[in-house]
Formats: sequence, C-alpha cells, structure tokens
Amino acid sequence: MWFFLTIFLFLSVIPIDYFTLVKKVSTWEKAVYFSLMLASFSILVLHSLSVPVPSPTDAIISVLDALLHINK
Amino acid sequence: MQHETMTPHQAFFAVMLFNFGSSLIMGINTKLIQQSWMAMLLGALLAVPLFLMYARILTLFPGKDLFEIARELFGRIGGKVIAVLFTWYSIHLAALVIRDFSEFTEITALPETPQLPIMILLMLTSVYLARSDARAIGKWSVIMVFVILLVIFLTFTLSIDEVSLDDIFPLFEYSPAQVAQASFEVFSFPYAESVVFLCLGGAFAKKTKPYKTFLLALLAIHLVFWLVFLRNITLLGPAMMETHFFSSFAAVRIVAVGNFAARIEGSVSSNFLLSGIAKIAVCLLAGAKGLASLFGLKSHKTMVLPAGMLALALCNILYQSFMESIAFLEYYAYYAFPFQVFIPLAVFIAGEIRSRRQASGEQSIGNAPQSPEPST
Repeated sequence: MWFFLTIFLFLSVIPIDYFTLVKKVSTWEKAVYFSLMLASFSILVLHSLSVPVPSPTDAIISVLDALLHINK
Repeated sequence: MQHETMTPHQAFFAVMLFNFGSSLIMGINTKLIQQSWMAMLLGALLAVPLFLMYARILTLFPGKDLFEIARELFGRIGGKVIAVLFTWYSIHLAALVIRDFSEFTEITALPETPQLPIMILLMLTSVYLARSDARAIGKWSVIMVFVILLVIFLTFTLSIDEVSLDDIFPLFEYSPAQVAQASFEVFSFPYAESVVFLCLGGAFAKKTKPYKTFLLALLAIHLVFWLVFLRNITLLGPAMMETHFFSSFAAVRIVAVGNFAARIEGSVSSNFLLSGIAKIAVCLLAGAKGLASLFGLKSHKTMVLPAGMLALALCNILYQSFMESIAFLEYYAYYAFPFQVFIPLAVFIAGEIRSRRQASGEQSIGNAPQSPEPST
C-alpha cells in the first residue's frame, strides 16, 4: 500500500511543480531537480518495500561514540 | 524582491515561532524535572553570545545569506563545503521535526494510523509555505505566535485550580555537572537551531536590526518556555513529568472547567502543528537555498519541493521507533554543535578580519597626503 502511496505522491506533485515552476528553468536546473527527486523517490520506494536503507542516525551515533565516548 | 523579504516584526515573530517548533509540546528538557528552570535560564544565557554572533554576521553582510557570505570569505571550494554542510543540517532538521510530529500524532491521537500519510501532509503544507517565500513565512508567524500565546494563556488560566505550587520544590536538587549538561542540551535544542536563519540572510528587510530581532526574540521565547514549564510542573508534578514524553499535552489533558471545557489538549496539539509547519518551512527554505548555491542555480524556488521530498525520505529512515529518537536527543547537542557554533564562529572571525582590513584600508587612503594639484 505504501508503495502505491509513494508513486501517487510523486505522480501528483511533480506535474504541478513542473508546469508552474520547473518548465521555465534551464536544462541544468531540470537535471538537478529530477536527480534529487529520483534520490528521494528511491529511498521512499525501498523503504515502502521494506528493504533496509541505512539510517544516517546510526552513522552519526557511531561517529560521536567513537570520537567523544558519549554513552560509554 | 521586496515581497520576498520579511519586515522586522515578521522576522522577530518568525524566530520566535521557529524556536517554539517542537519544543512547546516535547516540554523543554525535563531530565532535571523541577530544576529544569535553571537549565532553561543557563541555556538562554549561553545563547546570548551566540545570537549576538549571528546578528553580527547578518550586520556585516546585509542582504546576503550564509552561502553567499561563505563563498565571499572562503572562496568557491570553501563556500561549497559550507553549502553542503548547511544544506544537510537544514534538511535533516526538517526531517527530525516531521518525524517528531508524526510520532506525536501516532502516540497521542491516531495510534492505528500509519505515519507516512501524516508526514506527507505536513511536508506538503510546509513546502507550499516555503515556496511562497520568506514574506509568507513571516506573515504566518505573526498570526500563529498570537494564536499560540492565546492557547498558552487560556490553558494557564483554566488550570489555576489544579495547580500545586509545592511541585516546583526542591529548587536545587541536581549537581552542577547535571545542570551544565542539561543547559548545554537546552542551548542546542531549540535556541541554537536559530542558526538556520543565517541561511535566509537575504530574506530580512534592509531596515531589520538583527541584534534587536534576535535578542528580543530570545527573551520572549525564554519567558514563554518558563510559563509552559511552570504550567506543566505544577499540573503534572515531578513524577508524572518524568514519565511523559509530551509533558505539555499531558498537563493540559487534566485541565477541566465544569462540564463545558474539558479535553482541551487538542489546542496544544494545534500549537505543535502551527509552529512545526513554520519550523519545517524555514528549514526547507534554507535547504533549497543551499541546494541552489551548491549547484549554481539562479533561483532557489525550484529546489523547495526536492528539499521537502528529501526530508520526507530521510524522516522515514531516521529511526525504527520513537525510543530511538529519544535516545538520539543525547547525541543531538554534540552533533549539532559544529553547525551551530563552529561554522558560524569561523564565518564571524573571517568576516571581522575582512571588515577591519577594509576599514583600515579606507582609513589609510583617507590619511594619505594629497597629491599636489597639477599646475595648469
């Protein structure tokens, strides 16, 4: 169900954004726009399909624990 | 351009509303329970020099945001590095607030509803506000601060009968080390998160006085936090306060005036929603400006939705459970410190050196002996 909700979200917001803003901008700006959208789409789709995506929180905690020994 | 800048009043209310963010509902650091007032006071005092530094940076570079300032001071590569770091921090902060809100909604009101639809609705509303630009956030802030203050005033007044003043004692129970640790956490969340406003430097109107805006906002925020803390501790008592993650919600829940004014905790939830939207919108706007600066784009507006979508994706993978988010709070102060203090400090020092060099350069030109008039 979350997979379809994610697809529905992207299919509804991208056309609105495209025709109101993105259509008028340069090719480079469009490339950046769609790359970032693709990145977030990929994370959301993987998450909705229960594929484990590494959490940045774990990385932050590991680095801080290694450097500052906060919880040791 | 004029319609995209905040007036001085709007900037003041925007800083206030941003700080209210998720703090009003989460309750300000409750590890010290009765002594939280002291941690809040010390946290606010620690924030004074920091806010003065932020104001000084905005005064040295009027009409410029942090990304433009960094490029000017540290060159193209240095500017890009700071843009990457601050874009990450802004989007991550937006994701943290979205996640806090969805967890709050699930725990207190909609336990059967999954979090994703709530996150999507909150993100889309904030993207709409951020896309309408800084002036719209400013107008939203002016209205919403008054709504929030009204709700706090009403809940305070209606709860007078239930208040137990004995609950604020003992006043000095914890060790100085524990107070210092708690103060550092309060300093970092929420006060120093105002660093995000440096990314919106160009969004302040030219007549805005950053010192006045930041310091008055800090004073007002601190007073409101104290009032909320006082209401929560006197209504809940230390034991209940310690066990509740959302102390404001729990405190207002017990307020009832006869049969006609009960279950008014919904008003507190609306506070969280209204201030949360503003905080997320400010973070997304900062993130969009960062992305635009990073990729050399003419306008940041096209980057608002991608920034929102990245925040949405991020908030889904941040934690497995609410307990993990509570555990992360211990690390947050250390994680955020470089963004809130080190980078602005580097910008401040470099900005001061440059402005002094420019001033001494102008002075030496002014003092230089005048060359004789060429004879005709």
